Amino acid sequence: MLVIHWLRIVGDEWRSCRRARRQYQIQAHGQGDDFDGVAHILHSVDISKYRSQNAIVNEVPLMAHVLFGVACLVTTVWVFVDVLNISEANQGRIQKMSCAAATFMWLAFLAGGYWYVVYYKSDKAIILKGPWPFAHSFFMETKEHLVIVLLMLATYLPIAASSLSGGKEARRVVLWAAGMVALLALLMEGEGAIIAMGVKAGLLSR
Amino acid sequence: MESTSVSRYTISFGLSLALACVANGLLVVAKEKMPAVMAGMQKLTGHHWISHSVIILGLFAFFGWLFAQSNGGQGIKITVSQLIKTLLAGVVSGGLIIFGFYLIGD
Repeated sequence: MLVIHWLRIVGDEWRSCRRARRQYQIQAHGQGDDFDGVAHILHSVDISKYRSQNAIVNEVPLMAHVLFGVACLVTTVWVFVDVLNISEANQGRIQKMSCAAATFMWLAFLAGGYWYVVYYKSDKAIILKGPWPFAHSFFMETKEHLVIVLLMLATYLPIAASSLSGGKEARRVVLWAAGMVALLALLMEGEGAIIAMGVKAGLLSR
Repeated sequence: MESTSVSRYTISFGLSLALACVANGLLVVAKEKMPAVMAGMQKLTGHHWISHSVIILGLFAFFGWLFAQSNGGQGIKITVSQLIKTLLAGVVSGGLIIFGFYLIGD
């Protein structure tokens, strides 16, 4: 019963989301990436209604992005600690966990990328009109490009971990790769928080 | 010279990663400073960021494979210390190009 109730809520949200998106797209048609155009749309469309109508469906990819990003960070730290205490017993686990870290990072990247391409335009206009424009012009701009480095490092982690039987030297490569993944993932989480604060500050100042 | 104790793929994809990180930074500068590059990337897949990701990930995969095939299929021979230094230099310089550009260049 609970599942059916939940599905109904999601269904209703989905329908209202499609209606609001259609309205938004009709007005946004032809405006492209023009900031003033988008800002004008935000004033003509009731953005708070638009956001609340889309609250669940729009934010699912974003929440999945954060969830998988944190999962990548946790599994990478696990790999780092396991490699520091490497033995015959945990080599298999290190390889599995490094594969898990790469998988989580790919899922975070795809979910975040989908949200960025489909939904971010309205948030960008809110941020740029608000008191924290640097949340987009510096933090989002650096995040969207540094995340590609993080994705490649996370993909490299299982490749490096496959050489662990090579001894101390091979361990150093995995430790460096895992350390860089963990630090970059933390940086991405921090930048994501500042971007979210930029949207919040922009909405509160309206 | 110390002997390499890691697989050829660990070395080749490590070097490729360093290369792709620097290319990532340079592509950011190119597309932000040259509207034609930005327009071309936008046209390629419909969104500049998707094109950017595909190009850089493609470079990473291609050069990783290419470096592994060199030296008669044995891959590039370098020491683990050299690999780590190259990897670190690539990631740090790629990151600094991006941070520096959006901090002072944009």
